Amino acid sequence: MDGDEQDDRSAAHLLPFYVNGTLPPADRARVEAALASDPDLRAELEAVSEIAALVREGGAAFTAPAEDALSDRLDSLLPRVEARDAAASPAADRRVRGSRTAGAAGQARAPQTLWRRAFAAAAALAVVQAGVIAYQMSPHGGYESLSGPPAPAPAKSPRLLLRLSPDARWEEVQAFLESHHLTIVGGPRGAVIEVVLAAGGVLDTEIEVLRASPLVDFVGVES
Amino acid sequence: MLTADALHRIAKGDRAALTELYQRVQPQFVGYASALLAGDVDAALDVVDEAFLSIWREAGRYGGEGSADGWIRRIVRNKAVDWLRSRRERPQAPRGDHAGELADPSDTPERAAEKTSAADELRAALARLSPDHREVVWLCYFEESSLSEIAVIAGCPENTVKTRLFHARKQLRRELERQRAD
Repeated sequence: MDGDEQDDRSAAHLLPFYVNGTLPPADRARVEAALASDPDLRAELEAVSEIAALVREGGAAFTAPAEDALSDRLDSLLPRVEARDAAASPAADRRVRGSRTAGAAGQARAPQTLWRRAFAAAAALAVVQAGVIAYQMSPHGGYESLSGPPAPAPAKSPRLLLRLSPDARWEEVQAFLESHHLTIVGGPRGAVIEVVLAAGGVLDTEIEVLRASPLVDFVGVES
Repeated sequence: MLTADALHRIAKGDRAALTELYQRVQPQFVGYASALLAGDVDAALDVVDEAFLSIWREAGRYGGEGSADGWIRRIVRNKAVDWLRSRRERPQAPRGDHAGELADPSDTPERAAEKTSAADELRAALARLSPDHREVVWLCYFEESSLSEIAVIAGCPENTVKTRLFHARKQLRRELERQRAD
């Protein structure tokens, strides 16, 4: 590829930013010079402009929920926020409440019925947690997640050791593992649990996801 | 209210700040998530709500490094990636549920129909692209972001952004020609 061809290709790669108006002046001048002398590049510019127009026009439907729809979404989101606070573990709950007194004005806006529901949810969670602890201390000594009994580890799937973040909430850990095709097969020992990959999961991908998650502090692969 | 200020207030448990932030940025991030999810607005609304639940819990982790809007966008992006993984990219039938939201009282019936048609055309075309390609197409043509901004958001070198846009454009053009020939 000679220098002119490289310039043409480089100018073609800059066309999207020429069209959206974000090119720095020097690049803009370079693209305009290339357009003046290259009919193929001008045809390319037309194609880019057509795509840009379609995305702008069609994309408006992706971003414009009506005002009342936005309000409805918010109405359904706020109770979930309340419920999430109420379902916090006692330690996390202390942390949250300790730092959240400044938000009293915002909390005062919440309807009282929501708080009643929140306290009820917290009480229900405490009962469930007590059940889990009792099970873990029982003679069979195994581990059972709230979503069901432990699954046998597939023969060729390595075990992953996960140390959970101190801030991690159990129901979130369970939901996270479930959505990533991971099954608990051991633990907890301290904050460490053992998981295996269910059929269909991709080990490297899931390890990467686990390492990126704020719920997990450490991921080890058992050899 | 700046986004960073909102996050600091949310970290202290200020629900009013969460509400204000949601009202201000939700439409933008629903658009972004919709593009990643090939125009599935219903899924995008759920993804953004999930992101806001995380923001409520995690706002204290934003330490001021990088832009606050970028921090929120990363959460939305991660939630969208989770959604895509959970659905394993099964092709979904385009949903027309939100077509009515395009209706502008000042539009003529012909104009309203044109808008709906453009949205459907875009959905079908995006569905043919990988999520990485959808993302750069959206950021460049809809949000009108610069090359360097897109590289930061997508977490890749600028040359990769240019290459993705180049290939996405070729693929989009083929798909649009196919649609129009049908």
